[in-house]
Amino acid sequence: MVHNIVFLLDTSLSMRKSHNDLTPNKLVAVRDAVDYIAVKMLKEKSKPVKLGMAVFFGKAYPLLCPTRDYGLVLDALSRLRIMGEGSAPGDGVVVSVKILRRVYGSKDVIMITDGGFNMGIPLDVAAIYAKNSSVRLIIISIGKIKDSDAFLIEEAVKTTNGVSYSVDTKAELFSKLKKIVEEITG
Amino acid sequence: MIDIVLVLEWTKSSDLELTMEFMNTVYALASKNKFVRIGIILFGKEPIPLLDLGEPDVFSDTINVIRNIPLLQHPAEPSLAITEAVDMLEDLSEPISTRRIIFTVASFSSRPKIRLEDALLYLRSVGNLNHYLFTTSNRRPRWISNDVAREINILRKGAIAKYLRKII
Repeated sequence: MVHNIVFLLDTSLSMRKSHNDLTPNKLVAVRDAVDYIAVKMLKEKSKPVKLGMAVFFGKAYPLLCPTRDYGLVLDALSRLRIMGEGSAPGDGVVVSVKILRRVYGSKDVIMITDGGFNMGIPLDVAAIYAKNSSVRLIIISIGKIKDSDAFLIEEAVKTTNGVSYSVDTKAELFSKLKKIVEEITG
Repeated sequence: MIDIVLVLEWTKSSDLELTMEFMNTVYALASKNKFVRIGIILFGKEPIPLLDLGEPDVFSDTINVIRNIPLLQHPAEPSLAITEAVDMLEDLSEPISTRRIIFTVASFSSRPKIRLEDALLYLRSVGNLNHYLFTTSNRRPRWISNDVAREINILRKGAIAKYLRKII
């Protein structure tokens, strides 16, 4: 069975800041971590994995359909940049589910965010759409996030039978991502 | 079967007469072929799907309606509209037996928030799609990379059929 994973990455303004050793900023650290996973999954191991990508700030849009082409993943990663104000994770989930509804196999969305949700479709509502499309949500939050955001994250992962993690350092981010992807791919 | 989605900028920056001529030309060519289906997405700041893939006759009715649609909010975001077109094709057409085409007609007069290159990468990853870019402006945009700029065709009044005959 093919395991389809879409990385849904927060590119809102707050990701421009660093956090502990997540430097020079959170977005670059996330990019490096996703690249590490992509190399592991697509180049080093011949696991039946396809990786896709979408981003969100005040809006959300897709960057990559699930692919085994590391070159395309690298191209998408190189395009990541801070997009602007606002954070609409629910819109990001909907975009990711749309990418995944056309593929066969297991479907997971790994969202990496630093919170500050303030726009678009509520995350817990978007999670219902994900669940109905057999998509599991896994959410990694960076640093301390607001209680209201934490509540939405918990509701979203509960709805989709997913899981959430909080990370504060680069090592934690890398190890959690590795653990998640290894669990998905068995 | 050929499935075509027209992605058309409908703002104060676009040349609406040229855009209408483009639509009419597509209709004239498509109506001669019963295996062509056409969809339409207008866009300004947000994309608005107007017509799902359907027969050219329905398309003809829609062209008349479009004339009365007020201009959409500026600045235009072509990338969002292109990804909407991909959604339409992915949901409604069969990639194996169908030639799938997106025509984007825009002024490209201002730098969008979401880069055009991002949408083009997404198109590449989807596969089985041909995408053609047209501008209603007199020149190619300067804010775009040279590689993409070279792909943009400048529309000239009266010369649209020449472009499209090669494709449809």
